[in-house]
Amino acid sequence: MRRALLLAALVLVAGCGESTEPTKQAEDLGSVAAEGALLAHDAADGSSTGPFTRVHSDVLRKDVEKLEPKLKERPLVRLADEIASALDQLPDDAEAAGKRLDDAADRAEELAK
Amino acid sequence: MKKIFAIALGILAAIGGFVDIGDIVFNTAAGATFGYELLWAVVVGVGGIVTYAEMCGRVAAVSERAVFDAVRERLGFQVGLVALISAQFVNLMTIAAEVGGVAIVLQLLSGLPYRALLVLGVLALALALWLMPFGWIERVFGYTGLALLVFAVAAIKLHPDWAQVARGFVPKAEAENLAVYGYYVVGLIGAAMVPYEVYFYSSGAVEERWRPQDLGVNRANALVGYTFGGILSFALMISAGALLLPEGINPEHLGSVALVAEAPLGQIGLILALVGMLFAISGAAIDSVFAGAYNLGQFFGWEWGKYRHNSGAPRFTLAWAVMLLLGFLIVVTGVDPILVTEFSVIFSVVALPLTYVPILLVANDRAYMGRYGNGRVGNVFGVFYLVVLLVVAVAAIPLLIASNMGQG
Repeated sequence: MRRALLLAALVLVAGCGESTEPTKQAEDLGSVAAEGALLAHDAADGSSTGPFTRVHSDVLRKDVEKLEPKLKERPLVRLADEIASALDQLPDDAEAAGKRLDDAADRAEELAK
Repeated sequence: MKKIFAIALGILAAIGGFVDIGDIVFNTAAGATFGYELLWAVVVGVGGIVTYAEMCGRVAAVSERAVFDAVRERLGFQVGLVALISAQFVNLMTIAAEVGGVAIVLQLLSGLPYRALLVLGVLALALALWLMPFGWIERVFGYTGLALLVFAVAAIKLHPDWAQVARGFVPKAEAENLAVYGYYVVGLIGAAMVPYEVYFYSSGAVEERWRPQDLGVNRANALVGYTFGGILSFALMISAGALLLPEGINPEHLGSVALVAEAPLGQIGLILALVGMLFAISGAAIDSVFAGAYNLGQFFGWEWGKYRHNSGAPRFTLAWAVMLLLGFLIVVTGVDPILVTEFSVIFSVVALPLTYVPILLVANDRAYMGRYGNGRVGNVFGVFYLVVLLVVAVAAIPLLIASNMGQG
């Protein structure tokens, strides 16, 4: 019984939430890019607040940083760099960041196919 | 008139207090993953909490005994101790998740550092627990939690396909992603029926000295309050389904949830969403901290209850202070509160039968309940939900592993 519980715990700790398949990784990056784009567009048209945009874009950038070490394919690595760099533009240059993140979300969609 | 007003206030508090971080996380994620297809699971969960909250409120009003009094008596010391340990484990995870959630929302509002806000949040919760009378705690956090109704406005403004929304109330097997689908079903039912809600509800009935003449208030609070509270869950799922699913966004943060109100409603939507989340999660943190202390007090026969004042029930007061401190120590390590939330909801599902079986037994015990015992309808619902709970309890951990925590 104890061994079964330990095994279950190890499976949980080792495997949960991590993605190593390129298509899944592209989907994950696409999700971050699309969310970042939504945030950036809201910030650009004055629908958001400064602290919210800054804190949430920071959180999204950390998501990209968590994914980056697991990325094996070059297009995905480049895409991750592009998303992280666009998120860094928030909240100061929200309009430009929004455009870059829209493009990144489109590219992620292509890569996930 | 005064009584009707009191009932209405109680209902409002129940609506505002229905949603906690588990509901927020699971409803939004389910909407972003499956659109409106899992609305039926919210109905099942709300039906379950209505059934058992009414039952344990009635037991408390008639016998003046709360859940863990009954657990100890009906299950005996040893099995009762297992129930207590599992309840406290789940409670502690819930407290950690809620305390972390409070700090995250404060950070989204202010932009200040997370760890400083964690300390500030815990101090504010401790002050509320120490200073505020029971009725005030319940109502202040319940009423301010009503700001979450902004998600209902957001859902309407996002113009979902209402025919598809209506179809979501009919269960449909999702063959393609069965494990993920099952994981969310279990999570949604578990989030609606987290054990601390009934520990707190029944102990609150004893705190407020409900008697058999208050059974109408109990029924109204449980039935109307929780049912309307379910609207908040629907709103979260519908707005996530309308906004996040088409964009391919997988919401993994409380900020993602706030975006759902910000996108259609602008700054005012964002601020109301954050304020609503802050008070709903703070209220749930207080409920779960008290639930942990109630359980210990009732199981070990200590003096317990906020109505006795802090010095009148010293072990109870120490117990809630320690529960809050432990919750703080868990999240201050840097663990992600959203991850803790998902684990706490799934593990609470495993512990659910240990909470709900004794309630059903006691509610049927004529020696306890006299003529206020369960009727036929109460038992049909009670047994139906017990079967549901047993199924989801058995399936919870395998689904968590098979679905990779809902990630597929």
